[in-house]
Amino acid sequence: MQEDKTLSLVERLKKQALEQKREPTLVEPTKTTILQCPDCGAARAKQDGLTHCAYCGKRFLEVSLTDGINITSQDNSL
Amino acid sequence: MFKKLIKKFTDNVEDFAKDAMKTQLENKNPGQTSSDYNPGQMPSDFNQGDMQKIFDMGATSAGVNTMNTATEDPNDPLLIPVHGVTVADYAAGASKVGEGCSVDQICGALGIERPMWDEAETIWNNRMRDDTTFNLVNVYSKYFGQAKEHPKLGNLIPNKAIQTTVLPEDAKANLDRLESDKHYFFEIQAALEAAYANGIDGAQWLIDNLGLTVSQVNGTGTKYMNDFSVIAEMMDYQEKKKNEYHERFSKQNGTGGVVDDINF
Amino acid sequence: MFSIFGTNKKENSNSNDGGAPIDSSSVFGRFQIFLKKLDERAFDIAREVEESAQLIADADTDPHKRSFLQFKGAIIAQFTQIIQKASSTYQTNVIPAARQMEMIEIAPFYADWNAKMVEKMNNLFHGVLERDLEKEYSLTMTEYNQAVGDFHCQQCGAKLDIDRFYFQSTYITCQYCQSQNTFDPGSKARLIQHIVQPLARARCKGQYQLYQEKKTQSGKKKSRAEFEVYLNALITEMDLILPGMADQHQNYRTRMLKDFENEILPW
Repeated sequence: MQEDKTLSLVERLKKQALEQKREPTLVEPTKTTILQCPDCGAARAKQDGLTHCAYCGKRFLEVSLTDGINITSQDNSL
Repeated sequence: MFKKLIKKFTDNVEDFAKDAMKTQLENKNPGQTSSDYNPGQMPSDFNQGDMQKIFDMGATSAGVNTMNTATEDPNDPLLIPVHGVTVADYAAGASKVGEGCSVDQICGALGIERPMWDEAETIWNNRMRDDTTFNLVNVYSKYFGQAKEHPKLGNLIPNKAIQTTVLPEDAKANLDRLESDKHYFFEIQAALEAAYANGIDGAQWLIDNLGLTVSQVNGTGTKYMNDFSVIAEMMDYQEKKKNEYHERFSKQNGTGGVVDDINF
Repeated sequence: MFSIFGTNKKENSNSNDGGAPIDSSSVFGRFQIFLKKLDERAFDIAREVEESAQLIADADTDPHKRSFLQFKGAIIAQFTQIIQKASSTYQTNVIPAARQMEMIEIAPFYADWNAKMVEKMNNLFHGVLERDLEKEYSLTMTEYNQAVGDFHCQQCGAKLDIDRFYFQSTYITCQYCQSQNTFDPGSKARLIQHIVQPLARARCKGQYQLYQEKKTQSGKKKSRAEFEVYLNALITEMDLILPGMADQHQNYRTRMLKDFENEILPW
């Protein structure tokens, strides 16, 4: 293109950089969800811990929770 | 070289595995005359791996670990799993995310939920940043490169493939070649350097030409990067390849020969 | 002495800034002319870069500013080519052709030119604000606060109280039915984790400068107090930006102090 020929090196580099195609970055929105026990439908209450269903005993998580940032070892179900 | 590693590290931990490799390959400053860098001065050390041993000893005496002297002491508080996520889990997970897997896929495979992964990520990154011996980051790097051997994560396939015209079987072939052929690995590192130097997005070039992400490429090379004698041995080859790619890219992009017309 | 980019206009005459004419038959003279031409080329690039660098940074919408960095990398590489051409010409053309006596003048001249060109290259993007971190932070916080005002418990429908800034997924307990809702703050909030350090540092520039001044005056060892003042201010800012990370930030503080100690040890 005639236009391109008259662009200086710096202008070409600028154009190329700003028009660079890249893998789209995933943008996740803010949201809330809830986990209902797939067996009995109960939700998880704070005092019952995160790892097991308080009603039917179903295991939600395969791990033991440790003292993290907001989650602590207190959040392990008994 | 080491100080640069440290500085880069405090700023952005999750890219560390990539940065460590890049930094180790940055061995020239502009303005150095060609006589400052003479590979002929130290040939015999490389072949016996003495270079690596010397570096390891020197590093250890400074209280710092390299990938070879890194230890996994079961009593090390820095190695305690976070919500059941071990350093191996985290490293393999990070590698898989680099390959294009979603975090939800990783969580599903590990049997955890997103909050656990997020906290594990933060805590592991912080531990690595604050470990002055560098032991932890070396352990992490090792597992990052061995992601495909992870029992739960090794076989995960991205549920969203990267957009490329390269056929999956060709991409796989490229990946296998990078794993097994060290010359090819260093050639691709050289290509990346040359691409950026010519205003081309190297990461995108990898996707368009090899069908692979930067993370995948670097994952194949952690075993080369843990051995300084390999890096030193391959320096000349990499430089040669960089010049070849530079020729090619500069012609393609019109960025070469900025002062070709100026002569003494 | 020949100063790089000392003038705004291209010089057509074969003379250096000192006014004395260059002897274009001597090796030194030819070399000076050659370097001046390199200067002019570098000057042209630098001028354009200075005009457009900030515009490019501002126009780059990539969250990691990759377009700006791509541009910057390419420009630095162009300068590197110029520097390397001078270097290889010096090695392969100038040194062999020059007499011993001439080298007494040529060598320091070249060293000076080289140092100035490298400095110019390093300063090319100095005045450019790659990212306006406060602005990014402020926008993210505004969006976050707007979004969290409107969440309801997925079990019972009551309004969920998201009491502060969470930069990670976490569990929020419904005050009414006690159900744990999984709250995902979204990608933008997560990015704050990546800018906390540079943002905190930008906010503590004053304390950092005081430390630097003391260090220049009395050496690093004697500026420990100023360093700690800076560090404490830094940690305070980091805690404000990322709530809930106080323990982690204390570890960071310990590590920074350890580094400081190590750097003042006599070798």
